[in-house]
Amino acid sequence: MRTVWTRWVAFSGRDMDARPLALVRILACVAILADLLQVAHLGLLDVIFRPAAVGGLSALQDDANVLVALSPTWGGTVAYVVTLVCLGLAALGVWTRPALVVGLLAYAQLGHLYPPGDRAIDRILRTVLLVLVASGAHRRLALTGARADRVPAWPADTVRVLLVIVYLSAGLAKLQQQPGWLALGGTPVLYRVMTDPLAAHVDPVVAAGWFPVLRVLGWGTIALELSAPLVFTRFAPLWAIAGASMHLGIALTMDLGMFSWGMLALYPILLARLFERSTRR
Amino acid sequence: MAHLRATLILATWGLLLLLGTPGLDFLDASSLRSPDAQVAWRARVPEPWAGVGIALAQANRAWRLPAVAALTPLQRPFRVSQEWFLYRDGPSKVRRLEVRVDGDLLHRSADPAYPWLADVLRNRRIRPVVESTCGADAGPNWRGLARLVVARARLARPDAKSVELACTVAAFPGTDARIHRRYVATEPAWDAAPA
Repeated sequence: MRTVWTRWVAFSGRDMDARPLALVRILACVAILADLLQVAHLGLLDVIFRPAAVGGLSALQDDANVLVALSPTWGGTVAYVVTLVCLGLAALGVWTRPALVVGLLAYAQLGHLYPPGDRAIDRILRTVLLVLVASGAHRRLALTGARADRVPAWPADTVRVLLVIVYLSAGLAKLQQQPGWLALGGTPVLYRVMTDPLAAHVDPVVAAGWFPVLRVLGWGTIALELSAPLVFTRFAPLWAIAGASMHLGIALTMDLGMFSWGMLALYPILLARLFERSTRR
Repeated sequence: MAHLRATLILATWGLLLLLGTPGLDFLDASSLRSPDAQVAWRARVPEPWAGVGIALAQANRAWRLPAVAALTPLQRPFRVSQEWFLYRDGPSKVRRLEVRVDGDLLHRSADPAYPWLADVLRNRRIRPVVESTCGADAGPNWRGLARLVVARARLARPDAKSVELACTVAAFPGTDARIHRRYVATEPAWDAAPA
């Protein structure tokens, strides 16, 4: 028991190349910023970030919605601007830790204000950025602050744990609700996912001829999600290639906004071994 | 210090695992609770896995869900609830939204021939409202969606007299669609109402 604990203390206390964490900080913030700027570009600020009672879209808000309780008309706009400014600063590496904390609180307010549009990817990125607050992600690729080449590795490990939980949950829930994901015949589940006109843009008539390929891709999806614990092994970069292929496929066939890009923003952590190797050379 | 850090990291991982336990985060308090549900489950799943599933559902009900409920207030300021059952299943039917202005079809979901307002209606924050509006049971946000579409339609066609949102449904592959829900707004009030 003592040996196990000693090993755990050594494992949790080791350090790593600072670049993967810094890249995740930048890419995750950029994914959120791009997503939020698109809302403004489409002229949807007043529609999405205002309650229905004052002209917005959503009739329901979460009661943790402090800013909107203060000002139903302007609370959402304030949260939007604060999120943009703070996550912009965090991406640049300026006052990173306070910017992340304030930015994430404001970003959460946007979610409380408009629950239909606050999806799993928003929660994943908020959780990861919250972990990064306690990390050395601000010590590289940042405009200000003291630079460090090596930082504690536990935040990267924590993000790996989160990724394992997310992918395993997704895979197990698929099988629990719809065993057809592994079926040898019938309509592949992936066909219905990829041809749903409300979420994807693959023509269901055309894709009806792709059943064998879609069935294999469905099996591949389950295999990938259930093999997520590999991110803790030396096979992590290979797993990352397969995961990136899945997310690029989703981005090509479906209209899920920043989902794929937000997930891919976390992948530098899975390539940490490659960064270590490049440093040793 | 090293031991304290190791303990805190272990606690954090344990917390993440408790809040989002893969396979259990999908289950609620009623899962596999009733004798009927357990009989149906045993008919589907062979032993010993059926018994394991029922025991896990019971443990989830007795231990995990109360712990998650107790920890929920801590997650709310940052809105970081840990439930990750993503994309479990596709839709059972092909549903589309159609928008007509003065009877002219301008938008149909995922139809390049009718692309008007597609960038807005397919935005990831609007799309869930389109889905709930055109789902089996219309959600409460159809009024807000209709208000948005009417406003954009009147901008595009200032002389418009009516705007219609129609949800169609069909079995896959979706070639024999029928309208199952309609909302119409007309001048001068432009308040959308089910038709």
